[in-house]
Amino acid sequence: MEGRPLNEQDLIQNAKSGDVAAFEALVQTHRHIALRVAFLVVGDKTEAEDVTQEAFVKAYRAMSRFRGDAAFRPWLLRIVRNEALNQRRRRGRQERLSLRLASDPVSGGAAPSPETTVITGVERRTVLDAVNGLPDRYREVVTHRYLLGLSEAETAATLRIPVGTVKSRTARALGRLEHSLTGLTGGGRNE
Amino acid sequence: MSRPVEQALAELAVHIDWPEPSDQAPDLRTRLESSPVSRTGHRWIPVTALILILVASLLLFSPTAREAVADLLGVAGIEVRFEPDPADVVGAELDLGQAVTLEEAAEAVAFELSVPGNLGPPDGVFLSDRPSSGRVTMVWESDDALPAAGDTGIGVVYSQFALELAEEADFVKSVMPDTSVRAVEVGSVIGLWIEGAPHLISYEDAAGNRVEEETRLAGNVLMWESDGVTNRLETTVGLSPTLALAGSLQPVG
Repeated sequence: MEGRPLNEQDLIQNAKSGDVAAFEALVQTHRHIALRVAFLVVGDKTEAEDVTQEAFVKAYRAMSRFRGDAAFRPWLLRIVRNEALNQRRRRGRQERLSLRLASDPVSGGAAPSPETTVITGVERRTVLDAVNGLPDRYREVVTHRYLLGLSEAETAATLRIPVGTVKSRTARALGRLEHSLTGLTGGGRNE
Repeated sequence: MSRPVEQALAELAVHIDWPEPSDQAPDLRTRLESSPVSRTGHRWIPVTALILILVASLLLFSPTAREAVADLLGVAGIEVRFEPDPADVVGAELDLGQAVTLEEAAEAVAFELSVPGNLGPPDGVFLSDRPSSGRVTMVWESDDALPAAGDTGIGVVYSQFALELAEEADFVKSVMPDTSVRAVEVGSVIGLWIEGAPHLISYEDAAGNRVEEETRLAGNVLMWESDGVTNRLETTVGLSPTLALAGSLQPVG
């Protein structure tokens, strides 16, 4: 399992009874991924930040409805995504998100080891273009599963679709990507 | 074990130009302290208000018109209404009930489920208790022939439910501009084709409960009853392809 704070359950209980500091501590660990979930919908960094904060306030108000036995992160991310979708609707513009490469790896992200680096440079851009070019429903599952690193269950909860749909869309999306990247990643790397 | 394309995606994730959280903590703290944790179901208040407004507005329509529509349609217990602000309905998350498998759905309801044969298995199956005898809703992803509505990614929403109707089902029809309702033949029965602006549909069950539902896709709806099961097929396409879907229904299993 990932390194979650051991006391997340305690923080949840305290936050449910209105402890602001507990709620802040609770969402602190999920700020990065929450911001990315919002960014995937609105496509603008500042807007994503505003959306995330608004969603955190809503999540705090809704804490009493959070079921203790459910996972907190997907619950929170679902609120963030919903807020982002609302923001996009309010704004009225529906242009497609186009993810860009950073000039340098994101700080804090693990530098890929030579063994795991299967693409570099120009090829990386080609893969990103292929992802950007996927139909919305496929791009959503691919970005949440692989770019955000969410599990199938978390992706399903965040996107509000059944796990089975996550599985089927992932399979189709990967197939499409492989098709459009033929010759790029298939270089005999069968492990 | 993972495919090269999966490795490529995982590697790509590190190189995306992601936003970084700024130090918003002080501002968040202020906002949280002025936002008490909710202990009540505030979220339902607007919905209740909306329903009350709708019910009140329905009383304006003449009984003669209701009867005429009831006779014309002959669809058991279905009442069609139109609500003025589609923004609350269009593209909202499809709140269709609990996600289940097709097998679970078939087991949970007393009637026999059908699936349009030319769509293949549904991409999602949901079970809800509205009405209490159970409703199964299946969704299919969009494709070229059945485009998605908005950003839902969904091209077809198909619901089936058995109605235990009130003795005197109460039909109401009101038409907003840009919306049309007409009777159509669905196989050997007469159904209802609702086209245009988003709408609400409601019906009354045997216990006198009024159940509300809304357009899911801001699409067109074909509704008909067959052997005690009411079918509701929502698409973004026209009558003819929707009738073709209805015509391809086959029992599940």
